[in-house]
Amino acid sequence: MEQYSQATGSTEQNLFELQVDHETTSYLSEIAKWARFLSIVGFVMCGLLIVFALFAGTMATLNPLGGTMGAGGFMQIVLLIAMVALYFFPCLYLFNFAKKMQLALRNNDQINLNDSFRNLKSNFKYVGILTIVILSFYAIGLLVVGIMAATR
Amino acid sequence: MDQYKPATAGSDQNLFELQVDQQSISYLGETARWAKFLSIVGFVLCGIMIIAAIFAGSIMATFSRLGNNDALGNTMGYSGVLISGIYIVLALLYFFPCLFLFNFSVKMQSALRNNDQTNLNVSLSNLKSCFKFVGILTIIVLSFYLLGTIVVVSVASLMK
Repeated sequence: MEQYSQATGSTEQNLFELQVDHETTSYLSEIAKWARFLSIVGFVMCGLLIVFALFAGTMATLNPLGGTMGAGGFMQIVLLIAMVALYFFPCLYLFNFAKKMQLALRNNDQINLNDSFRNLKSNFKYVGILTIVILSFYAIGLLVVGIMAATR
Repeated sequence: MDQYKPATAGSDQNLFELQVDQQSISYLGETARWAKFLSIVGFVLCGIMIIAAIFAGSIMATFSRLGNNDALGNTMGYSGVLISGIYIVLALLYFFPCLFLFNFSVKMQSALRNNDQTNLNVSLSNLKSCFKFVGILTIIVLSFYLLGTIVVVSVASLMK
């Protein structure tokens, strides 16, 4: 049977020496459980945001003030839907990660394990890139405010 | 040498058949890189929150000195303390998942570099802690929302 072996082999063999042992399996299954919970909460939040967006739309059209309020409502809907779209994909990746990980651990399926890690990677990459984008928006905002303050 | 085998063995042996193969290693390496970036951004944001908390008191104190009204000044002073408290709590709540994530990425990178099973397990244990922390925090926040909704609904029905 395969045993845990210390990294003493050549580099070619080293790549195949990390195992998913008992301890790793227990951690991975717990990660999958929490990830599934978080992703389902995320899906529910997305659904609630869409409901709010629809309500905001109907409120805006029903509003007697019309005009600017209508435009404000439209902006609100667009913003909410954009937020839903941005929030949906990491949840989907996380859900896929959890599902495939549970399958992989239950059926001992290497392909599902790889798929699962690929989804985890996608999730982190997505959130990371989103963070970079948001931080650069903040930086641009600070620059604009600074320039406005300086040209006053 | 260890080879990938399809799951045909008994259930006892099954547990030892999954491998972290080349593909998994590349995915885990990329995950670790992004996790490290996210955790460092998180640390920086925690630091900014702490700084904001420290200055919130003095900013609010300045406002309260500017205002002539004593009552207004007092509430401003209290709100400064309140804002500091909230920011410090938020920073603390945000710090721990970042720490777990940072530990995960550091240990994962060293596990992948040195092929170290112990570090791999420690790394995944940290990722587990991170997910668990965020999950429990989510449950707590959701139950606060639920409690708030119940309170609002009951107050609204009492007002009628």
